[in-house]
Amino acid sequence: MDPAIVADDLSKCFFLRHNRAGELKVRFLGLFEKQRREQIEQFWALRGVSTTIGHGEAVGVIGRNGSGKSTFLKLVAGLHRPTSGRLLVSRGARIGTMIELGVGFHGELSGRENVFLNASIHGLGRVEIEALYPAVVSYSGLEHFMDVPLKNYSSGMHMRLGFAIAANLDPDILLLDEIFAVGDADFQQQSVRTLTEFRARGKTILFVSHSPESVRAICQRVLVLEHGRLMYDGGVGEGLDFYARLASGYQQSGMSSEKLSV
Amino acid sequence: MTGASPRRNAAAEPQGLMTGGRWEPLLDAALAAACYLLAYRIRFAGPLFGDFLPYAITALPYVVVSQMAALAACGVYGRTTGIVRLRRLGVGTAAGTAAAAAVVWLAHGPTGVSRAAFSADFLLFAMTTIGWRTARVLGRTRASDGPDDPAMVDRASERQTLGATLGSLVQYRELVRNLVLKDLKLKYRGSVLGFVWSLVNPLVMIGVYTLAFTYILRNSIEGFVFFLMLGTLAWSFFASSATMSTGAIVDGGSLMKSVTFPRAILPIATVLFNLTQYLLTVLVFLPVMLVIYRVPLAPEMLLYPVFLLMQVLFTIGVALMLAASTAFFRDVRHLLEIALAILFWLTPILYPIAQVDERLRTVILLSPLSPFIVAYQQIFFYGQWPQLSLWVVGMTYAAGAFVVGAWLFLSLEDRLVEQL
Repeated sequence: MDPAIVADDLSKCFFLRHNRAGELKVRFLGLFEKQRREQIEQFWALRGVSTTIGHGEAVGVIGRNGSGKSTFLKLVAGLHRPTSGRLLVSRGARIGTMIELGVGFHGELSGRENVFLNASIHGLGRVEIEALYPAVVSYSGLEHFMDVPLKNYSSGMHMRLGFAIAANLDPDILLLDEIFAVGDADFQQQSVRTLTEFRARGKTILFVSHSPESVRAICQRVLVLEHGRLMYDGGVGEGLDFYARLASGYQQSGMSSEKLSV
Repeated sequence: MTGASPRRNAAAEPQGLMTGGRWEPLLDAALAAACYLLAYRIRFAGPLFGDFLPYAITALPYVVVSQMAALAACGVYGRTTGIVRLRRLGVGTAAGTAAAAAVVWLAHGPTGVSRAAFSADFLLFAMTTIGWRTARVLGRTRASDGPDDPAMVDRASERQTLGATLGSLVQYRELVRNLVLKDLKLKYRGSVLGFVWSLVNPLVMIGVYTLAFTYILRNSIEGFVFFLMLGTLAWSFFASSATMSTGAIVDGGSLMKSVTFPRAILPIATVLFNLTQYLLTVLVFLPVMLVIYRVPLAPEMLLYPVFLLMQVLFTIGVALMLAASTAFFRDVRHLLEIALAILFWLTPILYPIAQVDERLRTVILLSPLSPFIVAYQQIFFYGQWPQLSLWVVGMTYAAGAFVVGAWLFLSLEDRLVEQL
């Protein structure tokens, strides 16, 4: 199978800056008091991850908070640069990110204006957006609300609209991050249906989730990350079991301290 | 926190950029000569230039030698890269100009040294030497390390180049348009007077200044209102672009964290939003003023778009610098406020440059916004063709600010997200 994403010894280090020296005040006080000085701690969000994801694969990425799942997605999306190693992504692939839904939405603008703004953030031209618009509206089921300012939308409607845009952008590689955490059963069913459709059409899906049911419904393969290391790469059932054992092992040994996800 | 620290990507460190090879010193020497003569031309306009030219020519070798010696002494031609080299260039040109002035003083006595000409020389020389190097870096497509696979892109060595960014501006023109429209809509939505508010503000400002200058300070320039309008409108275009651009990246947090798009679009859209507002106001005020003061239409008015374009390029350059640097250093906002307050009085907006003391005139002419604003005044108020120095200084500032701003922004772009 043609690879869509190849990670080769991929690592990402973040610098956690305590007492950010972005302000003059911090620099000034740092002259006198040591603990007020900026301290930079290295945090390796990903360490030596190597894997190959083929075109048309639906891969679940699971792991506890701070294990590097979102970082992996963001590296693929090109939001962060790898610190070392290589990360190859097929050239010219349209990458759809559902890392946060409804990003760039503005409360004072109407639903319609927001659709146009949001779609153009993804690089679409006006003609393309106009062609897309009816599909977005009918998918979201918000026909009667498109002229209403977004501030009057419920949070569920907000998310529906965001998902409707993302789903209709027709990406080749789809990156999803925890979008089923909110939303009613109806919405969840609709989105799972859409994702299975995507998979049937040969799109590549990377899906970060904490919910075993969604992973089972959508993915054929699972990556388990722990402290930035790839611990497991294989079938869904076995991967979920592995993750369950991993999580309970930590609970038993009392090591439940969770790092902030960056 | 880590055991074996993985190797850094070679492409992440720009190796050997900013250097121009063996002809680098030659180009700098040629620029040193050209900038010095230009500075003399700017300082001594008209017939005076002919009188002073011999002095300039005799001093020229001293100037070029001092400049080059200072650049070499500051390690500009050593093995340095990026920001370090820019800093050395800044220090080197300052030291070189000071040394040149000292040498000329020794050779010709104190009367041979024109402080204004030397400060103009410093600005032009620093701008051009820094400018050509950054332009060269921007123009170069960075080679990725490792095997080049035509089917795959390596995220680790992928970089935004100027060419790619300009190309993506075309691809993302709908986004630029929507961002500008969004700001315009948000500004006027819900207010009864809407766009009229944009006219009220400059109207009040011009009214207050007119009262202050004609009745309190007893300034007797005919058509002073018209004169003020040209300066204040162009100034507020720049000032509000600069102020808004400090938030362009920092306030775009969630957007920056979840969607990839050329980040430079945000500050550029900010400038274009302010440009739209400026143009709308000019469209209302300018015809009214031309009719009231019976200014006939003249061919030099066609030069207005040319100088406006220079001002836009300059403003975009400044906006790119401010937007990126605010992400790293939040104090930029406060420093900018102070800088703008000072800059306002250093720009001939409330006073004609002709009224400025002869010795200070060059300094005022060299303040960043002056070339554009004085050009607007000469075109519309005095009905003149803009003088040569305005062209030279204006183009140098526009190109310099744009090139340096684009370089700074693109080299920081990858790290912006992690600073939010």
